[in-house]
This record gives sequence, structure tokens and C-alpha cells, in this order.
Amino acid sequence: MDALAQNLVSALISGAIYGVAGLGFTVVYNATKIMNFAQGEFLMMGALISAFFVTSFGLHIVLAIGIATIATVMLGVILDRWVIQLGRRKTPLNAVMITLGAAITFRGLAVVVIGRDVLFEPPFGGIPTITFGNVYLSSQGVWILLMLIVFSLGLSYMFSKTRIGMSMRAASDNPRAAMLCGIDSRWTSTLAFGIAAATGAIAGAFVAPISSAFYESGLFFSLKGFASAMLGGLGNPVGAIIGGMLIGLIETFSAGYLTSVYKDAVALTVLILVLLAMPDGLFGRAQVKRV
Amino acid sequence: MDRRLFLNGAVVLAISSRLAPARAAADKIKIGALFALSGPSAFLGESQEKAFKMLVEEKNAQGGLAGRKVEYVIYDTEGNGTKAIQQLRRLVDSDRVDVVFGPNTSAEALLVKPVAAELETPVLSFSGAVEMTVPPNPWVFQAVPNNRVAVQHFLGFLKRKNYKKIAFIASTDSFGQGGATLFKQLAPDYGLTIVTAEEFGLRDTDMTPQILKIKSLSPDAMVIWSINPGPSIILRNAKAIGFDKAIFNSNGVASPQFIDQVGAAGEGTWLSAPRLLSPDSLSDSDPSKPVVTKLYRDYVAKWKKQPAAFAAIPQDALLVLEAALKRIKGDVTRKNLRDAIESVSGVVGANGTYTFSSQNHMGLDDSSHPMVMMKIVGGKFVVEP
Repeated sequence: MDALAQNLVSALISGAIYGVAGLGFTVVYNATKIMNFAQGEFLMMGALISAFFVTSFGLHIVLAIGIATIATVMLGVILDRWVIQLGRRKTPLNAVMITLGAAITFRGLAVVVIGRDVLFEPPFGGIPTITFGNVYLSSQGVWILLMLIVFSLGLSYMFSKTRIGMSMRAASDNPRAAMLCGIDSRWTSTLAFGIAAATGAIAGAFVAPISSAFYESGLFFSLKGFASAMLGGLGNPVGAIIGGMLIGLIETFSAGYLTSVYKDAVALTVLILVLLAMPDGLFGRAQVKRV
Repeated sequence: MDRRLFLNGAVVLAISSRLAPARAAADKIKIGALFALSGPSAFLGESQEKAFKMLVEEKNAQGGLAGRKVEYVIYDTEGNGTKAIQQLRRLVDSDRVDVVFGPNTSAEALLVKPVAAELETPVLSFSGAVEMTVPPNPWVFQAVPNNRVAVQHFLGFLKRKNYKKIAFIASTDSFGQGGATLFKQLAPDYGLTIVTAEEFGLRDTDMTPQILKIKSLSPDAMVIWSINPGPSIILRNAKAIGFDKAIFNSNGVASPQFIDQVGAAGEGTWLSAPRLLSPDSLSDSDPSKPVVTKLYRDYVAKWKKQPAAFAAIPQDALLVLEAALKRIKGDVTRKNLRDAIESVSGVVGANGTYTFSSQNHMGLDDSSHPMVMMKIVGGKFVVEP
């Protein structure tokens, strides 16, 4: 019984990490219809830069996260404004290739600037570790869950209620029509990359005390985040979170009760099955186009 | 007309350089090094490259290896076997090296093995794969304790300390899987039972489910076979859920940073590692102690950082090469260098004493005991006899 509950908690935290990586995909997709495969690198850079400042210079964690976020947002904005938007043929496929290239560039940059060491940020503290009987939820886990709630509610609100969120969606749906209504689609695109980079960097810094900060972890976050976003239905922030939770749950329980050898295979098989039955994901809206 | 003349000239030049003896100068030795400096195996190559550069600089300042100035070319294989082969060909054909050091990982090294024979160039492999030297390939030598020796040492220790039921957990990459295969194969010889063999991905963030499963099987000890960060996360998860049995790590985490990475959760856990990790706690009767201690001090002085245990490998390879060069009078060719390495005996390196023969290309003596078991006590590695 204890083991079951502990596995649930463990799944919750893993799922939260996957979900928050998926959020970034959602934001960029909503504003540009681009799959940004550099999203995982935003998490990696947030984790690595903040962990580097904390462990090497003893900087306060808040300050370190601030620096990491600013640096990552700058790179995200540069990626959009001066790389993707300058791409001559602006099809989503080209843009995806550019983001893949950017991911490799960011990884190289991290090695050159910070190095190849595996860094562990100290946990934030402030919140006690929660224990019920033999089951524990680490204080860093609570921080991650809190961050996830704030991000998902904030982004949902932005996309459904605010002017800026709606203009982002409009600009991605039909850039020309949006332009005629006075929406600058270039600006909404850059803003989306900025928000994705900021949430990614903060998420990375929150995750680093649990999972370590390492220049190679970006691809892992991208894959899990992409899977979460697809499963939940692209474009829906809450869907990405629920998708992440489901993947975390399936992985944890196949590792704990079936065999850890096939846990990734089990999770990805479920993903394929769901997408076969519901091509728009669990919470995605079908794209209807009038011709 | 002019153009054809030029082309003819170029062809003649190319042919003549192709046919020229591998090296003419008697006062130089050119080493080609294949290190994984980026990618998932970069943790191996990084400290090896630093140690290699430092040692070559030191040797050259003292007049070179057996009186020959050392030149070198280093390529980054990224841990990728296909790249390693291309780079090996480039080292031999265009850089015209006399001998090749590396590559690091077993996957690369096994691909390099047949190519080394084809190119007729001696290779001092840095990989511990048993298949590198069994059966022996005339051109391939090992300057490193092989994986079987490492696993046997591990199992011998577990048996001596009376651990019987072992839970094994390994990463899904080649390091983890290689260890898992040998461990499962050899454990019965030591009277050990493996109660479960779990796995995890190299970048996974939480291994609590696997540890809970292991805990429910109540083994005597848990053995982790992976490179970081997996083992650090496992130790943290294990401490958090109150796993109270002995935990052993492989040499995959044998770097001084491990203690910082794992923090309090590492206290009281064990790891199997080469001597370089903790030179101070070696016994004075250990013949390798002076070599290890000097390498450690020099490395810290030069790079302001403690060396990972893998940094001992280039040191031993250079010592073996120096001993071989001492046996060569006159010009060094790849052929006479190969023959000379086979006749090297009794070279004391950081990982033990090396003796080669035409049948034995795994140079370490059985009596060398290249690995020691260490325990983390008070935030330090302490050798356990």
C-alpha cells in the first residue's frame, strides 16, 4: 500500500516535469503553429545556468534563476526574431528544422560557456518535506507542483481571456487576416518564444535539484514535453499538463509493477494508440477548415 | 599543357607520399589520440585529454619519450564509432602517426579493432571491453583494466563481505548493459543470487519505482551500474524512501565530483574505482602508489581540479609506449613499434603492472588488482581492504 502511494507521488512529480516541458510547446504552437524542438534546451539552460551560479559563486537562488531566465529569454528571442523570421521560406517544416539546429547550437554553447559537469542545485527549502506514514513528497516536489499550477493557470487565462493571447492565436491561425485587423504577427511570435523560454528556464531551475543540470538533458525534456503536448492535444496548456501526468503515471507503474526495461516503450505505445483513436489528442479541438 | 604537368606532378607526389616509410625521423614520435570530448561519454575523454596533454608536455620538457620528441593529434570522437573509424583512417593516412591512443568506449573500440589491423597501426585501446584482446589482434593492445577484471573484483568483494542476494540496477546505455551482462554471467561463480535486474534511462529524473520494487524483494545489497547523473538520483531516491541496505556503485561514477553531486545521500555507500580517486588512502606497500600520487598532484597543480579516475589510462599508455621505444634502436616504424610493445614487461603504471606478450595483449598482471573498493565516509573516499 505504501509502495503504491509512493509510486503515485513519484508519478505525479515526473508527470509535472514532463507537463511543464510540454507547456512551452503549447505556447509556441498556439502563436506560430511551429513545433519548437529547442524547448527542452530552454529547460536545460535554465537548469544549468542557475545551478552554475549557485554552486560556483554561491549566488542566492532567486538571483541565479533571474539571471538564467534573462539569458534564456534573450536566446529565445534571438532564435525567433533573427533566425526563424529571417528564414526565406516560412513553412512550419522549415521552422522546425531551424529549431532542431538551434537546439544543437544551444547545447554546444552550454558546453563552451559552462562545461560538461553534472551539477546538482541545492533544493530550495522553505517548504517542509511532506510525509504521510511512510510516503513522502519532497519539498522540491512541492515547489515543482506549485510552479506547474501557476504556469498552467496563467497561460490558460492568457490564451482564452486576454487580448494578447487571443491575438497570438489569431496570428497563428491566419497571419494575413490577423495583420489586416492590426495584429503584428511578428511581434506575437517573438513574444511567444520569449514566454516559452522564460517558463522553460524557470521550470529547468526548479527541476535541477531533483534531476541534475547537464548540457545533454535538453533532448530528453524536448521528447517528453513533445509527447505530453501531443497526448494532451496541441495548443491546450492544461492538456499538456494532463498529458505529462499520464505519461509519468504509465512510466512509473510499468517500472514499478511490470518491468523497468520496457517502461519507455509502454508509455510511447500508449501515446501511439491514443493518437490513432483521437488524432487531436485528449483535449485538442479538431481543426475544421472551410474550403 | 601546363595544367597536365601540374596534375602529373600532383599524382607523383601523392603516390610517393603514400609509399614513403611511415616515419623517417628517429628523433620524433607522433601519437594520434581518439578521445570522446563531447557527447554522452565526454566524462571519460575530458580528464584523459587534460592528463595526456600535461604528461606529454612534461615528457617533452625532459627530452621526450626515450629521447624522442612527442607530437600529437587529438580528435573528438563524440563517443561515435563511425566517427572514430574515420578519424583513425585520417590519423594513419594524412596525419601519419606512429601509434594511436583510445578510443574510450567499448562500442567505438570494437569497431576500431579490425580497422587497426587493416591499417597495420598499433593501437593502445582505452576501452575495457574483454573482446578487444580476446582473441588477440596483432595490432591492438589494452592499456586499461578490462571489464571482466573490474566485475570480478566487485563480485569477489561482495562475496568476502558476505552479501548473498543482490539487486542489480543499470542504465540502458552500453556502459550499463555491458556491466549487466558480465555481472549476471559471473555472479553464480561467486555464489551470489541476483534477485532482480532493473533498468533506467540515462536522463530519467526519478528512479523511486525501481527502488521500491527492489526494497520489496529485501536483497542484501543493491548494485548500480551506470554513469552519472543516474546513480546520484538513485542514491537520493533510496535515502528518501528509507532504503537501508548496502549500496554499491561501479567505476562509472569514479570521479571526485561524485561526492558533491550526491551530497549527504552518498554517505556510507560504496564504489569500485581505480586507485587514482583516492591516492592518500592507499597502502605504502602498493607498488603503484608513487605513480598514482605523482599523477594526482601534478594534475591538481596544473588544472586546479581533481582528476577523474580515468585520467590514469593515458598515463599508463605513455609509460608502456616509453618502455617500448627504449627497445627500438634507430627509426621507429609502425611494425617495429608493434613488436616492441609485445616485448614490454614489468612497467609499473597507475593501474598496476604491465607485461605484454604475443599472446597477451591485455597487459595488466593478474596480481595488479587495478580496482579498489571505496566507501564514502565523512564526504571522502576511503579505501576498504
